[in-house]
Amino acid sequence: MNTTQISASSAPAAHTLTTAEVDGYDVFQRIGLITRRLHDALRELGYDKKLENAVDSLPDARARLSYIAKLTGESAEKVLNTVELAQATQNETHQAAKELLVRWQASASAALTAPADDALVSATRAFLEKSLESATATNEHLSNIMLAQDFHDLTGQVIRKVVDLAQTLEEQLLALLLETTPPERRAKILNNEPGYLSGPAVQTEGRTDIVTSQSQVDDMLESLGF
Amino acid sequence: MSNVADMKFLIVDDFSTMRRIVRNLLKEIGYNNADEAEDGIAALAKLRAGKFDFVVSDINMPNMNGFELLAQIRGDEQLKGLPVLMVTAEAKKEDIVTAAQSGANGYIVKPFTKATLEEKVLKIVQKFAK
Repeated sequence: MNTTQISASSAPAAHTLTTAEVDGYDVFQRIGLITRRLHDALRELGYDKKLENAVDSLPDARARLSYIAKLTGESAEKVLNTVELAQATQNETHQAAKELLVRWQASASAALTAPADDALVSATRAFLEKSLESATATNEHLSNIMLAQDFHDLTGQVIRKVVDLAQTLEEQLLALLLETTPPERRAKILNNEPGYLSGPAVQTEGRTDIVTSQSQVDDMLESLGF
Repeated sequence: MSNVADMKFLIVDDFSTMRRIVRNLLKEIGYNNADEAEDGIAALAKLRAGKFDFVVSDINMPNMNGFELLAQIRGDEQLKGLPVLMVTAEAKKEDIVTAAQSGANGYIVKPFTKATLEEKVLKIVQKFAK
């Protein structure tokens, strides 16, 4: 871009132009001038080094985020494995208690037991009933533990978005860095090509164009005829 | 389908943990027959290869997202009548409108509860049973 044609000041143009022409001309020339000044300033102040460091640190930041995503994913899988095992055990207990309770109830109603055993029978039946309740309650807790692992999906989507942003930033900084680097050194920078990680995810907070609860979703769907 | 409990579900989500969560919740609700797919492309292949009765799909997925999958299902002679429930972190109103206009039968925003899933699945099952 030729920035020598105009001065930095808002000195009046030497020849006659329309206002629109002057505005358009002025804006682009000014942007060009600012870019040139920024370019020079970066080099003079040594910011090209800082920029290079920033570009270099972004892949590291992305790697760290990916590490978080990987570890939280593995943890969630472990929890799910354990929950599934515990649920199976609880279901067996529940089933066994239920079957035994039915037998005790039949036995009691048929008055097959000796009077001396009454206390033992009622204690056993009470225990079986309690076991059934406990197994049901524990299964409910396990279900909640399982559902809480949805954090992996939800945080994972946010991490993906940040990783994506970091990549965009990295590419833009890299372009800026190339601008401020003498041609003979550009190849060196380009050899550190940015990596590519998977796509965008949309997470939404504090906005008016989103819903914040399932009931709002339902209301919307209802208004749309669902 | 002869028995509602035998209905075959296809759970589509790019996060394996979420697929497992939905699968387990469906099991707790009483639906034991489910398969999984990691994106729209894998889902379409499975849907075309086997008999499914219900699709539970995420929206934001690589390769083919949930909206594209929904459009493919609605545009397929064999699959167009399938119930499709969207389960997604996308809470934008325009996404819900898009889903409804594209022929989704229900929409659940993550994070959700077992009760919500049960209610929405049941509602769609009852509607399709009529």
